[in-house]
Amino acid sequence: MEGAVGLAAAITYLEGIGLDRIAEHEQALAAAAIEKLIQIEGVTVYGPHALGHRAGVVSFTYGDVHPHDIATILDRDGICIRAGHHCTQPLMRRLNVAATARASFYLYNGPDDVDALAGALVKAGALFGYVPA
Amino acid sequence: MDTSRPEPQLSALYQELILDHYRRPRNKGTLEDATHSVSLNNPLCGDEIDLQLRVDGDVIKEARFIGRGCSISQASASMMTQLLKERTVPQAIALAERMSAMMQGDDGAARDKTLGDLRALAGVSKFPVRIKCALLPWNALTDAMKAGRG
Repeated sequence: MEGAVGLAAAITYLEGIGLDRIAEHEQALAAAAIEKLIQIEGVTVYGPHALGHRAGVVSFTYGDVHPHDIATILDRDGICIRAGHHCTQPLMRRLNVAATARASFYLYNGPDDVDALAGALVKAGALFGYVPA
Repeated sequence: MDTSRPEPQLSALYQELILDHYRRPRNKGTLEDATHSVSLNNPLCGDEIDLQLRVDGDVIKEARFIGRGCSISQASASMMTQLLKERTVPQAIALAERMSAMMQGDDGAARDKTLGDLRALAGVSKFPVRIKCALLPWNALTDAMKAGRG
C-alpha cells in the first residue's frame, strides 16, 4: 500500500518538473563532465561524445589506475561512482578493458558535482603517480 | 558529512609498497613444470588470477601468477608469490590463515613478520569492500593446496 502511494508521489513530483527537463539537465551535466574529463591526460571516455546519443552516464578509464581504485579514492571525497563490468562483460572484452569507472548524473546533481569529479580524479592520478607522458 | 567515526586514510590503503608491487609485479608469468594450477575470478568486479605452483614433495619451489585487476589484488598476488618459495604446504596454509586474520583487523597478524611485504596491506581491513580483492590470490592458493591434498 505505502509503496503504491510513494510511487504515485514520486511520479507526480517528476511530472511536475517535467521528464524532458530532467533528461535535458542530465545530458547537460554529462556533456560538461565529458568535456572536463577528456582534458585530463590519460583519461579515456567511452561512447559517443556528442549529445543526443547518450543518457546522463559517463564511462571512463584513467591510465593504468584500475577503476576500483578510482572508485575507492573518489569515495573518500564523497563522490560515489560505479566501477567494474556494469553487467556488460562482452562489451568490456570488445573495448579491451578490464573494467570502467562510471559517473551517473541526475536531477539532484549540479555543475559543482562535475567539478568535484574532475578534481578528485586528478587527485587519484597523483596518488598513483600517474604522470602524463 | 557523518563524522561520528574516523574515516580511514587513503594513505593507509595505498602505500608506496603496494603501488610498487602493482606497477612491477614479482613472479608474474607462467610455469612450464607447474604441479598446481588454479584460476579464480571475482565475477562481480572482474579481478582475475591464474596461480601456478611447482611443489616438490611438501615444499613449494616456485610460484607464478598472471592476473588482471585492481592494485590491491595484484599487489597481494605479487607479495604472496614472493613469500611462498621454499615454504612447506602447511606453512603456506598457515600464511593464508594469517592473511585472512589480518584482513579481519587482527592487529597481531598485522605485526607478524612472517607476512613480509603483505603487512602493507593491513589497511585494507578498514575498507570492507576491498577485502575480497586482497584475498583473491589467497583463495586461489587455498584451492591449490586443497587440490594437492585431495
